[in-house]
Amino acid sequence: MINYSIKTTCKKENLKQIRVFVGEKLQELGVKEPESDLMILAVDEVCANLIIHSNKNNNQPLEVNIIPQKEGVAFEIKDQGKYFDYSLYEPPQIEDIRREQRKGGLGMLLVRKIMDHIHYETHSDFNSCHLFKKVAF
Amino acid sequence: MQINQSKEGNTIVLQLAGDLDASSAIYLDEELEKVLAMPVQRIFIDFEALQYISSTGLGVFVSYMDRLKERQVQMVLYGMSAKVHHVFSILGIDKLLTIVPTKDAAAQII
Repeated sequence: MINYSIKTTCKKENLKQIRVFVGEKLQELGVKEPESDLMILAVDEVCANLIIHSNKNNNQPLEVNIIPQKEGVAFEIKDQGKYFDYSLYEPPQIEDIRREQRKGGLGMLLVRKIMDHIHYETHSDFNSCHLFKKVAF
Repeated sequence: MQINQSKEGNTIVLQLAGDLDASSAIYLDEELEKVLAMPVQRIFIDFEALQYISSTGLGVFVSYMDRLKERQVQMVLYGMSAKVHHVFSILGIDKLLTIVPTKDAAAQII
């Protein structure tokens, strides 16, 4: 199967083009709504976190790869910013976010609800986030 | 994203259009701050032209919930597409906010 790739930079303004790209490719792969909408959202959330927290909205490279598989769709999101150690991530309580009037903190909660598999890796010159969602094609 | 603000009696209506994501949520945040500086009793958020929302958009609404309650300002969200409403429902945030189908339904809430 063909893999799809988009290379852009860690600017918040690029999130829209990533969503459009992922949406178009999922449609080509035959992934239907609402599953495709949820996958677009999860990729958007991971990219937004990398852009804002790992790369501080700079011009470092950001790459999203879509890898169709027999039982679903895998995504690989590569950046060169500060590594997000997912093994240390503790999901916040929404009530705490509300009480503390925090604007953020919900993104990874959404990703965890949507995706079947989440894995982060760090390499010598890049980091990668791997997402997988089962799809009945 | 575009935000259009209008005043109808003691209600401020914010019409949202386009995509409410990590790049645009700041504009909604700023607009809500401005609205809260006014002597307002109700805020209607019109989602009819909003095509996309991410967690950053959800977070803006969650972050204002307690302040609105303290100020006794009622916020009602209406006109959501099924796709946008689903994003609110994934984490149960639809149960924390007042969300109704239409503006007429919003106007009937006291």
